[in-house]
Amino acid sequence: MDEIAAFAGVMVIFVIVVVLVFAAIVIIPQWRIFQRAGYSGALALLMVLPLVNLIVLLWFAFADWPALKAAQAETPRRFGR
Amino acid sequence: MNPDELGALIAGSGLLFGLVMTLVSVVIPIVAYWKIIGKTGHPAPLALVILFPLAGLVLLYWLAFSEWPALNRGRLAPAPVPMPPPVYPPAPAYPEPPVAAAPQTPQPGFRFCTGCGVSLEGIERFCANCGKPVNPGG
Repeated sequence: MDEIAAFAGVMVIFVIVVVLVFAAIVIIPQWRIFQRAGYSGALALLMVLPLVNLIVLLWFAFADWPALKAAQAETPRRFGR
Repeated sequence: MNPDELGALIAGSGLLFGLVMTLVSVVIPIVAYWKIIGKTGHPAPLALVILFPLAGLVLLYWLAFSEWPALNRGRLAPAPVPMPPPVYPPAPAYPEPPVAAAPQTPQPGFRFCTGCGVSLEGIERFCANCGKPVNPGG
């Protein structure tokens, strides 16, 4: 009985570690993308949630990125742009 | 409900489920990635890469760590490289013209006799050739 409980505990920890590793693999680049766009990188944590990720993705796709606005403000207006 | 109706219901709901899943897992991500990649300044059709299972992850990392052309526009535009001064071949060694040729600028009234036109030194009071008085006014 004790052995079964110990095995179950080890399995739970193992599964948690694996899930965290896979989550980190996806979160790390998304964190950086959100940050470079000018938003908080913590938005990447939302991308793990099943339905929320679609909403965040669509919002992010059509939002006005602060970093882009800043870059365009620095760009001298020439060549008719 | 007879078996035919039940079968149609199952098929219909399965079709609807498939459509929704396609929309959620394929269409929306592609549209979103298309917009996102386009905004970074990279070619937007790269979004189609996420149709391939592992390529989506690669795309994510590439997007996270590559340069974004849209951000660099203007700010990181490379400074114009200054043109190096043109290297001319050395001038051929012509003999220097005599320096005496330089003071040919005539000083009016002192260089030529107004009577005969002979060249004067500029210090004589009468022309050594024709004897006409050299008047400083010309």
